[in-house]
Amino acid sequence: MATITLRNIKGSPLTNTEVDNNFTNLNTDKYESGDDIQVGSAVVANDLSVFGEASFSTSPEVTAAAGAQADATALTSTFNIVTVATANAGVKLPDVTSGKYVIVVNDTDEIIKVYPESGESIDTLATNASLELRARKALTVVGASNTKWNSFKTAPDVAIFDSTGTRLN
Amino acid sequence: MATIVTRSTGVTAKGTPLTTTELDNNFINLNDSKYESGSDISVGDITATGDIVVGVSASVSTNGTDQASATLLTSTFNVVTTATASQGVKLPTASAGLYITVKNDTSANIKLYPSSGGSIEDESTDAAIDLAAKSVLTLLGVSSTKYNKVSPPEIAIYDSSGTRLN
Repeated sequence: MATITLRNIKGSPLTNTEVDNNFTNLNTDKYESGDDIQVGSAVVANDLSVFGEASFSTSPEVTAAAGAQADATALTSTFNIVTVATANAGVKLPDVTSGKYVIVVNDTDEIIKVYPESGESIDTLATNASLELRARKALTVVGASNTKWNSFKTAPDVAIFDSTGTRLN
Repeated sequence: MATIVTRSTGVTAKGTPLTTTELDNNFINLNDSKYESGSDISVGDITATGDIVVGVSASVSTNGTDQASATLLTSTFNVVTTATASQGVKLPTASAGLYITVKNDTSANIKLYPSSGGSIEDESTDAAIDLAAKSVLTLLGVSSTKYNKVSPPEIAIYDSSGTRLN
């Protein structure tokens, strides 16, 4: 918040300098069109136009944890890049709210599991069930409600098998 | 920055008492120029250190068999959950940088229309593209009349008779 001096708080009339500083501080500290802005959480109810770059919170080196939902590594950023995993290790999405936007990149050679928070779900999967995220794939999820994520994979996962039935990708 | 006049400090200090009009204009200009909760904002760079919450329509139904009657999409992320084959949804009016993702979470193939007078990639003006069942498409506005696809192309698999299998 901008620093301003209020008469009722101060208990006496503001000086000319205090009045000037109120105007100047409000003018300097508040955002307006064209500013580069830095915020905590951003809720976009309608339109957001960004003419420069958009930077989002990123966890660039997430380690997936072996085990079940309760053991999975909690994801804490908008962009989460899993760089260390054993097969079927897990990560866990944050508590879902409508419109919350999270991207998970599996930058390992292993299949990992993406869990919702306890009591929540992904797509039409059962409550608490995990979604499989294959090696070198990315997953975008957006909250549909306070208990459910929708996943947005931008290309179908094409499975290629050799003649023995072993999946190759 | 908003236009303000100060009395004794700052680069806009006039050195004499502000008139009532100058004082009023300071408040009005600050109120008009600054963003607040719920504003549509247009900024340079944006850095968000916490969560991003975007517009989502989680239960969209298709409608109609032409552009005029297709259901208008109104969010950044749109999930079609109820559809009849060949019914459609319609993108909002394009603008450069407008970013829309559509998920067809049904078993029906649906039509995705531009807004009236608009187009999608190299399709004709007002022409729809197909959005296959259980597929996702992200589009980016490149002008006030055109969207381009930005998600990976869909892979079509055909059997030996030429029938599409997916």
